[in-house]
Amino acid sequence: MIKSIHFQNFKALRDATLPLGPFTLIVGPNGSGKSTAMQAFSFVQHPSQYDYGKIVTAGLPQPSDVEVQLTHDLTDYLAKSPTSAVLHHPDWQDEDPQPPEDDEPDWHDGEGVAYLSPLETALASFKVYSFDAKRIAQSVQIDTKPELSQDGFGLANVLDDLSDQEPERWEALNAELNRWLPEFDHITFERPSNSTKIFQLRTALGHHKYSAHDLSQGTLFAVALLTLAYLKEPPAIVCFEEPDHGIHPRLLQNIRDAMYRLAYPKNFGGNWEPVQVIATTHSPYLLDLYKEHPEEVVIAHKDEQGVHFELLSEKPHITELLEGAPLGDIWFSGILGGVPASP
Amino acid sequence: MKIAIVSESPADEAAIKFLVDAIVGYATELVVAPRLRPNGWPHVLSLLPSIVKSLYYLSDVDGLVVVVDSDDSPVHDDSHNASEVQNPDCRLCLLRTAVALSLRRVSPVPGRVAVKAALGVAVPSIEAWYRCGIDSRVNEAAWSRKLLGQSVNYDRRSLKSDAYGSGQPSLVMKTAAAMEAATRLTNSLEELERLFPNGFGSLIRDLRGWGQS
Repeated sequence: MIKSIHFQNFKALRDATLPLGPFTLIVGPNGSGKSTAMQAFSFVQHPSQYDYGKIVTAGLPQPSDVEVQLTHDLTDYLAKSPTSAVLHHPDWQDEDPQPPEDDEPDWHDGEGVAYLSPLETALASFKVYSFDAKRIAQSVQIDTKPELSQDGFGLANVLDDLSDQEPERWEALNAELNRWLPEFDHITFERPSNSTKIFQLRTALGHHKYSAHDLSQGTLFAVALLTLAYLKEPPAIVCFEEPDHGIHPRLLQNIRDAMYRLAYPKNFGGNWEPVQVIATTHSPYLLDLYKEHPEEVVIAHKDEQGVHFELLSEKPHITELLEGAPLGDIWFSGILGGVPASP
Repeated sequence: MKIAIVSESPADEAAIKFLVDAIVGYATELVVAPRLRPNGWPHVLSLLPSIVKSLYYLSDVDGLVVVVDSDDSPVHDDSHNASEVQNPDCRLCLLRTAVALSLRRVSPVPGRVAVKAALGVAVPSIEAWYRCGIDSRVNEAAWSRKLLGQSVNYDRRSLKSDAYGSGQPSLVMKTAAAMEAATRLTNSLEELERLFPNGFGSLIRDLRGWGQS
C-alpha cells in the first residue's frame, strides 16, 4: 500500500505530502490539487512523457525540478522498488540527465530473472475514473478487450465478460444493483449491429428493457461504479473523481460501500486482493459517512502558502470538534478548512 | 482585536463587521480563515459548539460575533431572561444557551483566555436593519404584532426586494447594498437599537461588554 505521496513543484502542489490509507477521501476547494494528486501515479511511471513547462508549478522564483515521491508500506512490498520520479528543468538536462536517486527496480526470481515488483505492477494497473454518461452508454465493438476506460467507455464489454466468466459475481452484482435501484432487476445486452453491443437494464415490474442510452446519468454512473466493485481483477490502485456525481444523496451509502468493497474485501466476505482506493468529493453528504473514520479523510487546504494536505484524524482536538454535528456540515461551515476562501 | 463572524451570507458578514467596528469604536481584525459559513439556522445551532471549540483551540481569535435571522420564530423579550427554562423557540435564547455551554466545556489551555461572544438576531431578517431610517414601518414591535396575526404591510420577501432593489439580487448586489446600509447605520446605532431593542440591542450590549471584561 502506498502510504503517502510527496510533491515538489508539481502543478499546484509546490511542496505537499498527501497521506494515504487503504481508503482515502479527499475534500477541498476547487483548484486545491485533488485531481493533480491523482496524476502522481502516472507521472511516477512515465515522467519523461510529461512536458516540463506544463507541469512545473507556475510562478516559481527560480527554475526547479519537478519531483513526485511515493512512500509505500514495506510489509506489502518486501523489496526495493521505484518510489520517485524527477523531471529536470530543461536547462539542466545536459549536465545531469539522471534522476538524483537510484530508483531502478531490483526484483528477481530464483533464477535471477528480473521481474516487476508488486508496486510496479500496482502502478501499472492504476486507474483514475471520472465517468462520462455518454461514454458509459456508448455501444462497443464485440471483439475488443473487456476493459473499463477512465471515462466508463467499454462497460458493456466488461459486464458481458463478467456474466460469461464469473457467474457468481455476475449474479451478486445484479442482486446488488436491484438493492440500489429496485426498479431494475437485471442487466441484459442487445446488439445494435452484428459487431456492436450495448447493455440494458431490465425493469423488475414487467421486465421491460431500457437501453443504456435511455438511462439517467446517475443510473449509468451507479452501474459503472458498482461493476468495478464486482470485477475479479480490478486495478490495484483506483482513484474516483467525485464518485457521488449525479447520484441521489440517499444512494451515497451504497457508493461508499462499493468503494469499501474494493478497499476492505474481508469486510464483505471476500478473499481477493484489496484495492487501494482514493476518492475526491465536494459533497457534505458523502463526507458525513466518514465521521467515524477521520483517518480516511484528507482535507486539502489552499492558501497564500500554496496547497497542503491534512489527515483529519491528525487535526488537533478533532474528537471535540466533531461532537454534535454531522461531519459534512462541520466541513461546509469552514471550521476544518478545505473550503473556498470566498464566499 | 481579532474577531470571527458567523452570519448567513458573505454580504451580511461585510455589513456586520462594519457595525461591530462602529459599536466598539475601533477597527477589529476579521480572521480570514476559517471563514465560518453554516448552511442556515439549524446548522448554526448545531455547529456552534464546534465553532467555539475551533476558535478557542485552533485560533487566536478574541471575539465571536453571531448574527442570525429570526425568520418566523418568536421575538426575544425580557420575560425569556426571567424564565428558568428559556423560550425553546426563541433563537436568541437558543444561541445564548449554546454559546454559554460551549464556552464552559472547553478545556483550559495555558495562556489562552476565553473567547468573548456577541449575539444578535435580526427580526425578521438582516434586511430589516438595513431599512432602518428609510422605512419607519419596519421594526421589532411591528413584526411581533405580525406574529400575533395582526396585519403588517411588509414581509421577509418585500424586505429583501426593498433592501437590494431586486427580488433576485446577486451576491455582488447584496454586498454593495449591505455595505451601503451599514455605512449609513454607523451614524444611527441608537436608532437601530431603539427600533430593534432585543435582536440588535443584544448585539450592541454584548459588544459594549467586551470593553469592560
